[in-house]
Amino acid sequence: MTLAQAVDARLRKGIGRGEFFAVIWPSRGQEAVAAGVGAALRRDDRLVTTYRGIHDLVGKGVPLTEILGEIMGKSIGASRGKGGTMHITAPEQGVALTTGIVGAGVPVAVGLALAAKQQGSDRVTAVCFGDGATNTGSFHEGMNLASTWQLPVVFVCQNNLWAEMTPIGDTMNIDQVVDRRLAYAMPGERVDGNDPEAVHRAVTAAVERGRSGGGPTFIEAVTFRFEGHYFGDQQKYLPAEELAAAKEADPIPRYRQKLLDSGALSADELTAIDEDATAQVEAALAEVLAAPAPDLAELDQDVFVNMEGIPS
Amino acid sequence: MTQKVPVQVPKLTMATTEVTFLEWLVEDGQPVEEEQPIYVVATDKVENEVAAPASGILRHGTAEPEEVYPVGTEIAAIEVP
Ligand SMILES: Cc1ncc(C[n+]2csc(CCOP(=O)(O)OP(=O)(O)O)c2C)c(N)n1
Repeated sequence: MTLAQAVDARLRKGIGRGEFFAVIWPSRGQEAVAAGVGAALRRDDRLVTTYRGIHDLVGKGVPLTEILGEIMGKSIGASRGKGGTMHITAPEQGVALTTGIVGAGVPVAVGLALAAKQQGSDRVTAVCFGDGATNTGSFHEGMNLASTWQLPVVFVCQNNLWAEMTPIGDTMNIDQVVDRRLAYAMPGERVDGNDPEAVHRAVTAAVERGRSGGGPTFIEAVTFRFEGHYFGDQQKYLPAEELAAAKEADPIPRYRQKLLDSGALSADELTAIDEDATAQVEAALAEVLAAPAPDLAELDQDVFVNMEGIPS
Repeated sequence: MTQKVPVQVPKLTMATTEVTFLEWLVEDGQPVEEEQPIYVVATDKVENEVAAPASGILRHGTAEPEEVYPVGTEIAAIEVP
C-alpha cells in the first residue's frame, strides 16, 4: 500500500513541477484493493488491469523501474517504452496487460482463464476495472462466458463511485454493482475497498474457488479516487463534502492506525516501511530518468510475429 | 555554491502541449518553499497553480502574462543556496 502510494505521489510531484513528462490516472485512495488482490495471487496467476492500475502493478510485484520506465516511455520500461501507462505488460509477474479501453480487459481475462483451463493449469486470472466498466457490453459478455464455462476468473470492481466526471448514480439503476453478478448466477460479495484485509479475505476465497474448479467470482470493492480522473483534473464537479468524507476513510492512515492499535507493528517499524518505500521509488526514478528512450529499431519490433514481407 | 533549479512548464494533462502563462504568485527575488504554488497557467480553459520544484530564491524568467509556452519551457529558476 505504502509503496503504491509513494509511486503515485512521486509521479504527481514530478509531473506537476515539470521535472518529467508523463500521463497518469492517479490511483491514490485505492491502494488497499491493490494490496489485497496482489497478496492473494500467486506469482503465475494472471492480472489484467486498467490505465488507473499502477497500484495494481505494484501489488503484483512488477519492478518499479519497469513501471516508471514504461510510464515515461523509456527503454527499460515493461513494454520497452512503447506502451505507456495504458499498455503495460509484465509476463514474469503475471501481468497480461493494462488497457485504456474501458471494459476491454474483462474478455481478455476470460480468454486467459479459458487458456489456463484448456492447458490443465490451475492458474487463476484476476481482472480489475472500475464501476463505469460494468456498464459496457464487453463486461457482460465476459461475465456470461466466465459463468457458462465456469472459468477461474476473479472479477474485481474497484468502485470509486465516479466514472470520469459522472457519478455512479447517473449511469446505473441499481444500488450495488455487486448485484450485476446475479444475472450470471455468479457468487461474490461487496467489501470495504479501503480495508486491505477485507479485500484479501474475499479475493483469497475467490482464488481458491477458481483454482479448485469452482468457477468465477465477482467482488465489488468500494473505495474512492482522491485525485480526480486524470492528473491535473481540478475536480470542479466533485462536491467538497464528498471528497472530505472519502478522505476520512483514507485506507493508508487508517490501516497504519489499525496496525499500531493491534500491536502488529510499532511506530518506528511503520516509519521504516514508509521510508523504505520512498527510497525504493527515488532509486527507481533515478535509474529511469537516466535511461535512454527506445531505439528507433524498436519501432517495428513486437508488431508482427514474422516481419517477412512487411515493409520496414 | 549556488545551484540553479530550472522551473519548467509541466505537462498537466494528456492533451497539454502548451500552456498560457497567467501570473506569478511570488515576486522575483523572493524566497519560496518547495511545493509552494509559484505561478498560474491556463490549459484548455482550466487554471492550474504550479508548485516550486525546490526551496530557494525565485528568479523570474521572461514569461509574460497571456503568452503561450510549450510544455518543458524553462520559465524561471530557483537559486538554492
Ligand atoms: C470503451 C470506452 N468508452 C469510453 C472511454 C472514455 N473513458 C475513459 S475513462 C472512463 C471512465 C471509466 O470509469 P470507471 O470504469 O469507473 O473507471 P475509473 O476511471 O473510475 O477507475 C471513460 C468513460 C474509454 N476509454 N473507453
